[in-house]
Amino acid sequence: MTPDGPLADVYAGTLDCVHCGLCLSSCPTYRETGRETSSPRGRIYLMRGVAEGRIPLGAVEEEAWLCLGCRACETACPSGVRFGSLLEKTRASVPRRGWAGHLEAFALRRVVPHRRRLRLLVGALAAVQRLGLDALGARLLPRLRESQRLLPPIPPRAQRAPLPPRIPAEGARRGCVALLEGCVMPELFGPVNAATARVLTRNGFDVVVPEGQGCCGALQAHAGDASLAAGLAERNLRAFAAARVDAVVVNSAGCGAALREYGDWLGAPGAELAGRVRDVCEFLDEVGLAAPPGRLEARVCYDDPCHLLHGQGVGEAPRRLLAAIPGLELVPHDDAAACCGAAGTYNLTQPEMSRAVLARKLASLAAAAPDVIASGNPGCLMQLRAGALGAGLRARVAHPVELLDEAGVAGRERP
Amino acid sequence: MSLDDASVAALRAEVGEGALAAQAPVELDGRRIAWTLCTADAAALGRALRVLGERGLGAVVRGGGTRSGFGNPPRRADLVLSTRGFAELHEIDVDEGVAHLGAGVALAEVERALAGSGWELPLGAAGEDSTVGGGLAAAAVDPRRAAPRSAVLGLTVVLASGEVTHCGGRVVKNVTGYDLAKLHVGGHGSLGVIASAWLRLRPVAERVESWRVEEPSAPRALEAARRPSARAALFEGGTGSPPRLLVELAGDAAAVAVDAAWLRETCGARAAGPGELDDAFAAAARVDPVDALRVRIAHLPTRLAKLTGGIEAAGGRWAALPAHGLCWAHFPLPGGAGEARVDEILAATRAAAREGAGRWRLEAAPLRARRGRDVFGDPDAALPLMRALKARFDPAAVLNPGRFAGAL
Amino acid sequence: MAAHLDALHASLRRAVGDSACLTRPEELFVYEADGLTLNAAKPLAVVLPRETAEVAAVVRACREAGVCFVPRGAGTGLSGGAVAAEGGVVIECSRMDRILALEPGDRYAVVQPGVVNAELSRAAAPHGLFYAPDPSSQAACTIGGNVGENSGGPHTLKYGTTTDHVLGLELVLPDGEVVRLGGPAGFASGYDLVGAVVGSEGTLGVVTEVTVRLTPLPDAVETLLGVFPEVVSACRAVGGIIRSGLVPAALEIVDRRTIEAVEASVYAAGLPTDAGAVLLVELDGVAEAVAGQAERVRELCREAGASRVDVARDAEERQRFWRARKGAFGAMGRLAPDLYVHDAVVPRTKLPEILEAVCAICDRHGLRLSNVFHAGDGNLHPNISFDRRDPDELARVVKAGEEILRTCVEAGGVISGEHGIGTEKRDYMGMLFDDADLDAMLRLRAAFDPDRVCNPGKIFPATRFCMEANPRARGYDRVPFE
Repeated sequence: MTPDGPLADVYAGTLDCVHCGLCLSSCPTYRETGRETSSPRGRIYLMRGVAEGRIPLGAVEEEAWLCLGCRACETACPSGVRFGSLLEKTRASVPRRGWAGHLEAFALRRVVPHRRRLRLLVGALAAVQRLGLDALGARLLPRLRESQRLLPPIPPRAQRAPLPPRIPAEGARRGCVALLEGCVMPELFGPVNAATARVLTRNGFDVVVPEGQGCCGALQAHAGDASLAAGLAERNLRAFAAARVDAVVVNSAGCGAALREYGDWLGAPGAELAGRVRDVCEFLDEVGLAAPPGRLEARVCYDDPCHLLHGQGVGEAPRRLLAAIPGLELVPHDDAAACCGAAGTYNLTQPEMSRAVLARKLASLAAAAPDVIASGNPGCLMQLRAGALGAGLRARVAHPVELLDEAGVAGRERP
Repeated sequence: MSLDDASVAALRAEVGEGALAAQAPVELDGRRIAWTLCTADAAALGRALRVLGERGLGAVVRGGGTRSGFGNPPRRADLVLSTRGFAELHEIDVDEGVAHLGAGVALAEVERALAGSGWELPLGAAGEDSTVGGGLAAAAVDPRRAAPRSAVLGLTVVLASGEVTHCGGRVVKNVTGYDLAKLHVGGHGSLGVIASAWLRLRPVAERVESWRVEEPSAPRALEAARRPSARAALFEGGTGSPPRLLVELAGDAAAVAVDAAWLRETCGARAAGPGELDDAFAAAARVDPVDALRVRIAHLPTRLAKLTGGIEAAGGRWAALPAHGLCWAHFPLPGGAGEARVDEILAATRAAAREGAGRWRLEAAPLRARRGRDVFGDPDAALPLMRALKARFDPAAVLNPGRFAGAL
Repeated sequence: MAAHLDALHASLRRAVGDSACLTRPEELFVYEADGLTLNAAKPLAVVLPRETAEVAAVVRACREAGVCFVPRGAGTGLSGGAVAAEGGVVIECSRMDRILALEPGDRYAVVQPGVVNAELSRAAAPHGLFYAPDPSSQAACTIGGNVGENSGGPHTLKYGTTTDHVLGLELVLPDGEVVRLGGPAGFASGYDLVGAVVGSEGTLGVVTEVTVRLTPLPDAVETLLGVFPEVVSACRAVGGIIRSGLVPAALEIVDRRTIEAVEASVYAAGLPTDAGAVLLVELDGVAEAVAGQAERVRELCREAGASRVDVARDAEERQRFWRARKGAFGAMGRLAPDLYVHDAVVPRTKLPEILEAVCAICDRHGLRLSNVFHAGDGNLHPNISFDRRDPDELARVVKAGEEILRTCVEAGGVISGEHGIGTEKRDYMGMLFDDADLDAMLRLRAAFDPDRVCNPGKIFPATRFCMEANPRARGYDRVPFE
C-alpha cells in the first residue's frame, strides 16, 4: 500500500488533505490564476497522484516552482496539512532547471552561506550602485532589470559591520537573549540589526551575538536542498547551543520560521533550539516593553510576512507593539495577510507572478494610504520597497523594530 | 364551448358519477361554465386530465374562486376543475411547526385549526373561501406574508399527463432534485393541479401592535417598514387625504417596544386599530373593481416616490408595501371611458415600472380592458423558456389554456 | 478522436484565449474531483472565462464539437456536482470574480458567479449588510456554486437558504443564448424560473451573473454553548427550542469525536473535550430581545439535561466558536485520510432516534462516525472517516451511507439538505421519488436542455437513460499499487 516511487516521502503528508478546498482563497497563485492546478489542494493532488503512480513526476514540476511557498494555506487548513514541508520535499525531486536554477544553486551553495564571499559580493554591488552601473546594466540586459529594481540602496560600509559579540542591557537588567544576525541581514539591513539590538538592550536585555553563526538554511530548504540546509543548521546549532540565554531572538521572519523547524531537520537537539526561538516582536510583546516609547506621528500599515504569520503563527504581537507607540495610527489594509510576492528568490525566478501578487498588495496599500509600511522580513522589505517606489506610493518601508527604535529615541530625547 | 355527452361519459367513467356535475355554473370572463369536476381522489383527477387532453378540451382550475379575477381570458373553458375535493387537513405537526394540507382546504379553516397551537399560516387569504391551493398557485401576497414560495416544503401535483407527482418533502431544508414547487407556486395552475402541500408554519408573535404615521416621506416610510419587528407596513396615498403609513409590529415584547418607541419619537406615530391595515390592504389590492383598473408594480424600494408621482398624475391612488417593493395603483375607469383611457393608464403604469426598475401586472380590470392585452405585463425575456415549460408539462394545453403569462 | 479533440481545444482557445484554456494531462488530472473525491472523472478541457460572452462562446464551441460541459465554482461541493461525470469541458468560473454592483439602499448586489461567498459579505459589511447564506466552506466557495447547489449553512434556520436570497440570474442556455431571469426588484411575472434554476446543480445552463438580496446585520448577537452529556439530550434541547417558537439564527450540534478533532486543529476554540456533545445556539436581533431569548434558551437547555450553558463573552470568542464549527469538516482529516460527509434531513423532532440509528449502522459496519450538523433544520451530517485505499472499508462506507439515507427517508426525511445529489446520490433518488416524480423533473430539464449537454450524469439515476454507468466513475477502485 505504501508507494516507493517518486515523492514516496511526501505521500503520507498528502493523505492529511481531505480535499475540502478551504485553502483556495488563501492562495496567492490561485487568486491570481483561478486554476485548481495552481492551488494548494491541486498541488497536493498532483503530489499524491505522482506518489500513487497515476501521473509522471514531471507533472508536478511547474507547480512546485510556481508556488510561492508562503504557507498561507497552512493557516487556512483545518486538517493540519504541513504544506511547506511537502513542497520542500517535492522541490528536491524536481530541481529547478535552466539558467535561473544554476544561478540560484550557485548563490545558495557558494555565496550566501559564506559570510566573507557575501560581503565581497555586496561590497561590489555597492560600488556598482554608487557608479550607477546597475541602471546601465539593466538597460543593456533586460534580464537584470528585476534584480536591479529589487535591490535596495546598500547601506554604507560602516552600517554593514558585524554587531559586537555582547551588548549590555541599559537600566534594570531583565535577562539575556541571543540574536541571530543572519546572512543577508547584516549586509543589506545592518541598520535593522542595530535597531533590534538597541531596542532589546533599552528594554533591559543583554544581547549576545554568538560567533560562528551564519545562514539559517531557509532559502536552501525552500529550494529543495535539504542536506545543505541541514548542514547550515548544524553550524547554527553549535553556535547557539553554548549561549545560556532566555531566548534566541530573530528579526527575519524567514529565518525564524526555519529555525523553528530545526527539530525536523536535526532531531531532538534541533527541537531544543527551535523551542527557544522567538521573533523579535513576539518576544517584546511577551515580556512587555519596559521603556515606554516616545511619540511617533505616522499612519502605519503593518504587513504580515508569510513566514511570521503562517510559518510561526505570529500576527497580533507586532500590531500590538506598534499600536502602543503614542501618535502612531495603525491602519488596517485588506491584503495584509497575503504574500507580497518576494518569497525568497521567487521575485527573481518567477517575476511575472511575483509582480501580479505584489500588485494586489500595492492596490490595498494605496487605498490605506499609510506613511510607513512595516514588515519584519528582509525579502518582504525589499519587495515592498521596490513595489511602493514603482507604484508611486509616498510611504517608506521599515522593519517594526526600526519604528520602535525611532520611538524609543524620541522618548529619550524628550526632557 | 361545453362538454358533449361523450366527454361527460368518458370523464364520469374515470371519476365517478357524482364528481362531475352541472349544478353550479361558474361565471368567468363573460363565459358561463356549466360543468364542474370535483374529486377527492388525485389519481382520478389525473385520469380525467388525460381524457381532457385526448379530447382537446380545456379546463379552468379553481379553488375558492377568490382570486379568479386575475388572469388572461381563457382560450378554452369546457369545465371547471375544482380543488375543493382535496379538503383534508392531513396533518398539523405542532412540535415540528409544519402542516400537510389538502389544496382545497380553506385557509380560514386552517387558521381555526391552528388556534392556540402557537403557530400560524404563512399564507394570506383573500376571502373566507380562499384555499391553500389557490393561495399557492396565485403566489398570493399580503402585507404580512410576501413570500409564499418560501413557505412551501413540498407539493403533490397532478400533471396534465395524468401522473400524480410529488416534489420537495416535509422537512424544512431540502435540495433533493429540482425544486419544482417553485414553478407551481405562482404557476396559476398552468403546469399542474396542486392537490396538497406541506407548509412551514410561523410561530405566533408574542406581541402585536398597530401604529399609524401621518404624512411620512417615502424614505421615512421605508425606514419604518424595515424596523426589525415591523412584520407589515402599508403606505398609501393619492386618496385625496395626505399619505399615511400603517405599521404592524410583531415579535418579542422587548423588540416591539423598541420599535414602537422609535415610531412614536421619530415619526410621531399614533396607535392604530388592529384591523386598519387589513382594511386598507383589502381596499387597495383585494376587492375586484368593476369600474376601475388595478395594477401591481414591483419596484426597487428606494424608488417608490418616483413611482407614486406618476400614478397620481395619471389619476390613480396607490398603496405600497415599502419593504417589499410592491405598489398597487388603482385607477377609476368609468363605464364611459374608452380604450384610450386604458392605454393612458397602462402607459403611466409602464413608466412607473421603469422608474422602479421592476415589472407591472394588471391585477384586476373589466374584461374589456383585459382583452387583447397580457395582464402579466410586458413580455418577459424568458417567455420562450416559459413556453417550452408549458409545452413539456401540458402539451395539449388542458390546464387554464391562455390564462397565464404570454397567453400560455 | 485525437483530431476531434485538437479541434475542440482550438475552438475553445479561440473562445477564451490560450492562457484560459487548460488541456495538459496534469491540468485535467486535478479537475477530476471536487470536494467529493469518490467519483473522479477527467474532463476533456478546462476553460476559465472572464465574461458572459466568453461563456457563451465556449458553450457554442462545445455544441459544435458535440461535447457536454460542466460549470464549476471553487470545487468545494460535496456531491460531485462540478466533476465532468461524462467527460466534456469544465467551465471554471473562478476568474468571473467581480462584484458588479452593490446597492445598499435597495439591499442587493449583482455579482459574477466566481465571487467568493465570504468576500461578498465582507464587501457588504461597511453598509451594515451581509449575504445571509453561509455554507461552512464560505471562505472559499463561490456564489455561482451556491446557486447551483442551493447551498445552506448554519444560519439558514432563520434566514433561509440560497433560493431565498437570489433575486435574478443571467444564464447561458445550453444553446449558447443568454437570458436574464428575474431582477433586483423581484416578483417577476410568469413562472419563477429563478427558483427553478437555483439548486438545479448546473444542469439547466451556466449562471454568469447573480443578483442577490443583502440582509441587514443584526444589532446584537448572542452565542450560547450548551454542554451535554450525550448527543441525544442535545437533540432534545433542539426540539424544545423549536417548539417554544423561538427562531434562533442557528442551532448546531457538535459531537464528542468532532470536538476532539477540532480541538486538535488550528480551529481549536476551547470546546470541552469531555462533553458528549455541544449545542451551539446563536440568537440575533434587537439587543433588548436577544437577552431575554438567551435566558429562555438557557432554561430549555438545562431542562433537556445540559450540564452547563456558556455564553460567548465577546465577538472574538463567538468567531472562535464558529471557526471551530465551520472548520470541522476539514479537521476530520486528522482522523483518517478520507472523510465521507453525508447530508440528509429528518423532521427535527425525530433527531434523537435517527442519530441512535445512524450510530448503530456505523457500529455494525465497523466505521468511525462523527456528527456535526444543523440541528435546527434537522439537517444531519454524519461524517465517516475512512481510507479509500482500503477497498473493503470503502465498500462498507458506501453501504452504510445507503442505509443511513434509507433510515432518514423512512422517518419522513430527504437524502440531501444542502450538498445536492450530483453523482454521489443520483442512484438513491428512487428512495424518495417514483418514476413519475423524476419524469416531472426531466420535463423541466428538457425545457432548458433538451439534448442533455449541460452537466449530464447528475441528479438523475444513471439507469434512467438506459446507458452504462460511467466507466470512469469511482476511479479510485483502480488506484495502482494496491
